[in-house]
Amino acid sequence: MTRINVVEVKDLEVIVRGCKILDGITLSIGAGRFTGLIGPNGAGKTTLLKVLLGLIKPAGGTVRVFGHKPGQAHNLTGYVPQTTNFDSSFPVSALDVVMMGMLIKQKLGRPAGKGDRQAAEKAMERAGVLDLSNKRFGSLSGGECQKVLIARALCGQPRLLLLDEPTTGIDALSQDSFYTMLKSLIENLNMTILLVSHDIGVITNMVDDLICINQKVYCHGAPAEVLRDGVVGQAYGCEAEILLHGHSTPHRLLGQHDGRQEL
Amino acid sequence: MLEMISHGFMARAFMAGAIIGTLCAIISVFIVLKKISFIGVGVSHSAFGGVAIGALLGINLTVSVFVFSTLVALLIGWLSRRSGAHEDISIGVVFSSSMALGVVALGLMEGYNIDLFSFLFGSILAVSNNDLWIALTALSLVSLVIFALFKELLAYCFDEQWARVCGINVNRLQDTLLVLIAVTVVVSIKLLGIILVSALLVMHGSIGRTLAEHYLEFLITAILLNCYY
Repeated sequence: MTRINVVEVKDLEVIVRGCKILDGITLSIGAGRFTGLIGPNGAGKTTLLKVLLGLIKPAGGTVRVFGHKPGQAHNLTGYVPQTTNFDSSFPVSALDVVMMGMLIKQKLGRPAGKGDRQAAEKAMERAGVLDLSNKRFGSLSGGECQKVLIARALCGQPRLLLLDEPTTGIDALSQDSFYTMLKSLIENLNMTILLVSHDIGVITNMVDDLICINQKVYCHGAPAEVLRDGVVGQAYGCEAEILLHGHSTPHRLLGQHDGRQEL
Repeated sequence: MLEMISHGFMARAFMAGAIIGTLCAIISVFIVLKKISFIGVGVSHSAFGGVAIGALLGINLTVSVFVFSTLVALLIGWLSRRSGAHEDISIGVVFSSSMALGVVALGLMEGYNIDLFSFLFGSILAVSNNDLWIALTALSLVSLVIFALFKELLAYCFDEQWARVCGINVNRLQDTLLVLIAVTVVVSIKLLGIILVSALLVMHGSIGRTLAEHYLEFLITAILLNCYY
């Protein structure tokens, strides 16, 4: 059976203000796959997501999302940014934020209707935050904010969900509940997900595929294969020690043995 | 109070105050939410350049102020996008340049008889019926555009990146907001003056934002405070 690729990237090159951020990136993501994107700080993970969203124009190469140029498939793509980028004093309720998700489908200038509200409430219910509808967005905890942003992304019924370090600054318990919710989305909606994360140990247990980048693609495949070859350590510029815990594969990255830091 | 309103000029002044207060309050919501509070000061003070150039060229001052302020507002938007810097930096650059241009234009005139103080401080008691109609038209126009683009503008202020992801032409939306600000400033200057307009575009909006939990409360608070003021 031929698997349809939702994302196709070939020889992608991105230059931002004279600095080459991505160089010769070639990868593809199949429909219904849950893919983790890892790499050290400054590796270009967020830049890659922004290219897929059409927010950054590539300097070279080809990028296709659902067969379209980036930005032209916006009604099929959902995006969840980091929660740390928001102004906590902004006077909007959680429901208002989720309603913004309908902008993907709505025509310019058309006021939000009853159907939009129902769609937003359904997305909130799916994300498990319907009870927070009338609360001010800025008063929510990090984990709650993240779920609201997931609901916003789900509101437009996307087929591809891009998440940029969604668990930054969130405690372990909330992270656990967040990942459980993601799993249920994949199972129930057959969504394609690309998740950028630094929690290598956690996401290796969650994803179907793992991509490790640092300006270029270091490895791309099943998590066990990717972590086995030590290529991840090369991308991070240090050695990788993989600790096995039952059927999970948490691991940590260490600096050079003569070095003093442990990452 | 009733006796005061029975005088035609006072009734017009109250009506003008209510219309301009509402107009400035509606725009102030987006100025405060987008954190571009300096824009009111920037565009209103830049209008001084429009006054001076209009006087130098001998054209209608309202028309020259409107054209100049709109161009200034669009230039601010273009510069901030082009440089990637925050709007406040572009406002600072354009505002001081416009004022300087105004001073040069006044210097080129052999003698001028325009009342600069009326532009600085306004003259709400001298409001004519024509001014009232212009203010009412501006309020209707601005309200209509804001109502039509409300959810897009709210998303733009809350999360500009999300607005772009949704396929909204954010550059055009930003330009629209800036032109609405310019229209508001131009219409208000004649009645309230450059200094008071910049205050009305920021002060009560900021108070409203502090008091309100929701943007609708914010809008109502800003309108009430502006009209009371």
